[in-house]
Amino acid sequence: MYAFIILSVLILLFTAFFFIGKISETSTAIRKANASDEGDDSYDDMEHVSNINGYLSLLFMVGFLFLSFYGTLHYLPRMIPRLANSVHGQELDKMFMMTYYITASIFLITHIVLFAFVFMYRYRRNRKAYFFSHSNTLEIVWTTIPALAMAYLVYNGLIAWNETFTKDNSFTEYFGNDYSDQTPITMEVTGYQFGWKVRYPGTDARLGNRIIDDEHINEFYATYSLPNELGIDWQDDSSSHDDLFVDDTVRFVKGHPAIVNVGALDVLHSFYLPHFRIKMDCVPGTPNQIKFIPLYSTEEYREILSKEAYWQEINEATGRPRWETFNFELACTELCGASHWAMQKYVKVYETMDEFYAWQNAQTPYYVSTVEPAIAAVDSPTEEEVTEDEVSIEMAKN
Amino acid sequence: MADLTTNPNVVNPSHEGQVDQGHDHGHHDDHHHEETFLTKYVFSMDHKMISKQFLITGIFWAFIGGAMSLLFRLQLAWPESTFPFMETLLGRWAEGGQLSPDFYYALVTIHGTVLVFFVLTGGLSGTFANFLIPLQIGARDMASPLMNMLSYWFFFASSMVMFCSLFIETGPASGGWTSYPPLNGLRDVAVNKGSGLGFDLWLTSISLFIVSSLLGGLNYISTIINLRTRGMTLSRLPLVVWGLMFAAILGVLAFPALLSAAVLLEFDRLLDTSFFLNNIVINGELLAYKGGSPILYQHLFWFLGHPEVYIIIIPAMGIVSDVMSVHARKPIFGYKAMLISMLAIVVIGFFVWAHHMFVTGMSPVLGVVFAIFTLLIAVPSAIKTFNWITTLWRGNLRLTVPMLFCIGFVSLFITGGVTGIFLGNPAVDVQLHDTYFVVAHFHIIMGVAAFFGMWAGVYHWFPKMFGRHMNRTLGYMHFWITLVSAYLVFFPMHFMTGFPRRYWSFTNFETFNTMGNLQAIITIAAFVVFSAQILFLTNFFYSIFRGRPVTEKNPWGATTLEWTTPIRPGHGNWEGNIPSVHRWAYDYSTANGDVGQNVPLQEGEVVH
Repeated sequence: MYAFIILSVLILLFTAFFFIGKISETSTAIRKANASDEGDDSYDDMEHVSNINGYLSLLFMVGFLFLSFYGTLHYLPRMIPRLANSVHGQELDKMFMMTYYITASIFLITHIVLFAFVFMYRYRRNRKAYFFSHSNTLEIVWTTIPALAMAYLVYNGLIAWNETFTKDNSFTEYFGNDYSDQTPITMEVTGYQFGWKVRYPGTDARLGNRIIDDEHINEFYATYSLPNELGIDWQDDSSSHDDLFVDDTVRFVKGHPAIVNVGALDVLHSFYLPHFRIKMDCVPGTPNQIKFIPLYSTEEYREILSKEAYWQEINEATGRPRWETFNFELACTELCGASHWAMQKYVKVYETMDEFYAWQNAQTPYYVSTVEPAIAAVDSPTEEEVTEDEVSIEMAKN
Repeated sequence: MADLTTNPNVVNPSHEGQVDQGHDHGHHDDHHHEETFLTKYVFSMDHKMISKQFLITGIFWAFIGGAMSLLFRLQLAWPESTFPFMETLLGRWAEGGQLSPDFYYALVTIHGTVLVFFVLTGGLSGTFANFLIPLQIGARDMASPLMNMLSYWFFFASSMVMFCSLFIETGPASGGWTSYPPLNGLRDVAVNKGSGLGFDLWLTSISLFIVSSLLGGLNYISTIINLRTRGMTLSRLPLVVWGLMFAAILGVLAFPALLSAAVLLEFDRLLDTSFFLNNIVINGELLAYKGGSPILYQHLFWFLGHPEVYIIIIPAMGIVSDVMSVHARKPIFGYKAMLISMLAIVVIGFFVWAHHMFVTGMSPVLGVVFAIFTLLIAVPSAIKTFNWITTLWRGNLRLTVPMLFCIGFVSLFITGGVTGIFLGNPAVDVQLHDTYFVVAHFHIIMGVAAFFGMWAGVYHWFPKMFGRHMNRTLGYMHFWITLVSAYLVFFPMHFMTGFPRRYWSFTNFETFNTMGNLQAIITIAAFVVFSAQILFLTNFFYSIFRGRPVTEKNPWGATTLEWTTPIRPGHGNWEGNIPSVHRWAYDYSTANGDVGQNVPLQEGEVVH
């Protein structure tokens, strides 16, 4: 019903517009007929029309520029916090702001000049346009200035880019600091439809090998009725035996380099940590790596947000101020199918390595809980037949 | 063709001013036949009719694509509400009145595809290249009218295939207009509903479109090079013709790469080859594809995909340059600089494609190269902008509807252009890639700005196309409502910096659920933009049949050759000789007043 009403209103509105248009055209024609002394007959009311549109242009310029900058300031507190939680992220943000100041000035100046000219030089019957076809000086000026500005931006940008993406994982000279004495956390994230497999090494700090072939994936699955999508070499590489899979929250430690191996099982995904300025595509069959150093723990970041008005507002869902329940998040930014929008996980940054170890030690490795029993059930069957049901009960217990 | 038989040029093709092309038409003399409805309006070989066919097909798709965006904007604005009319319209794709994610992605995909290819390439280049090239260079038709007709009919077939794909059981393609494999490389509806038959049809449609584009493009280039009238040197061509030629060159060089990608992708899908697929695990099972690279597809795609945005915007730049000059009553400022900067954009435009792929994991060194070229392209773009602004300086600006669209174009080009400087810089792009910031950027610069160029062209050349004027007041309303509300749609998207694009709903993320009613404001503005286009549509079709008739050959007082033809030119364009050209196209407000290109130099004048 309401759709019908809206539709009728729209139709009426546009019928009205249409007739306004028709009437104005007719009245122009009548005026033209009455004032036959006018010269160029298409342009007899051009002065009048250009006046109206000249003033409208001026009005538009003021409104548009005001709303652009007012809107930016108004929505600033709601944007993803501009305090990047990573060493490289703060550098990238400096680049963003540098670009912003340059482009915002260009935007402001060119718009003012553009619409001021439209207003100043709107049609006048007695005005003659000035024949001005070219000026090499002007062209050189406005080739050089943008070229210099671009050179400046690209130079600074590429320094930050190279620092961020150099393949060296030693962290001896990372953005001017030495982080090589901080224990790195190497982990692996694999995107699939629709979620993330997140794997941490156990106490040996080594991830178990992956061998992506028929034997380690399809045959393993067929033999032990246990999917092994990642192709982890459970049987021949014992470093896989203490690997941890996490379900809900990805974990990092403040000040410690995080080295993330990203990949995908089925289609493209993209590993996106908005607060950390991290984005890396997950490509099936092509391993990628990205590294960063978090700067604030979750608690510290909440503390910082608690000073901002937007984050002090009460969150209706929890009844508490927004900053209290704030969490970093992981999202997918490469279209991967119908539930692309739902690949959410939380991200936690620990204050110290000890907190991380404490969490690590409290987990049961996947091998112990699931893989070992499945292999045992098939390879060394006990007297009584182990049915699939019993395997899954055992899995559940573990 | 009836017109041609009375054309003295045809009887005597070696006439002064007539470049040797009379043979194309001469053979019609013998069989003097009336044009039927079918030959005049359907299978026409007249470039003017073909251009109208492109335009009207483009308008049709613009409305389909636009309406699609309204449906998914409703979902984005009110993700937790239901709209019963949606179920009526879409059936099981919107059960309970909520758009399903599958169909949401299908709408996003088809919206992008049809607007980029069918509207802004077919509709924009197809219309104006066909209409303007022969008329402005002084030719009776295209080099090959038959190829030209085929170009339209391949476009039509491509349109029809795409249109049919909207109605199939598994739904149209839904893997994004970029159609990256493996999502689109596996012909498995369990992976993605739209990757089944829907995507086969998508690939078929795009392949047909590429054929159409190549037939058209080769024709435009050879026409411009070979069929210019006497005196029309390359350096006297109006900028719009240059723009259309550059776009055609880009298309001819870049579209084949997409065709190869499309063919290889279809091989992967139907014949189980592994060009783009490697080590794929689905439901715990490793599939047999080995050794391909999904990234290779992206390189092939963007080798077209980036030049494609210039294929869209360069003709719009050309239109704006010329239309602005006419209505400012001033020569375009810095014709040579405009030309060189367009050429620079074309050349550099071929070396920037991988800036769409900064975070695919490609070598950071490669990223450096592409970043440098990308920011380099900002320089010619800046030159063009400053030249347009200087064209307005001390002009006598007739603020007609096409002129306002030109001014709107410049504003949009600046707004959308400066955000490109963020995205071209890989350090900044890491955070912005695939987020609403990108959506804002490209919708403003190659969506709305290109549309403004197109409207400037339609309003400006409508009197030549149909022999009638469009209603001016409706035109002004169309302009102001569109400008304001289009900015209201896309400018606020910059505030959602870092919010991923192509999300059906943001509600399960705290990070992306902070903008309150901003999405709703955008959606309402989108409805207003769309409504304003109904105004345009009404004006357009009403004016074709009932508009105020044009009473003089040259209603805008322009200098280019198309305005020397009869008010309603027949096939062949000029009734007498084709005029010769003696000067460039921008002699406005000279010491001798406004002087058409066909007017011989007067005493004391210096040749341009």
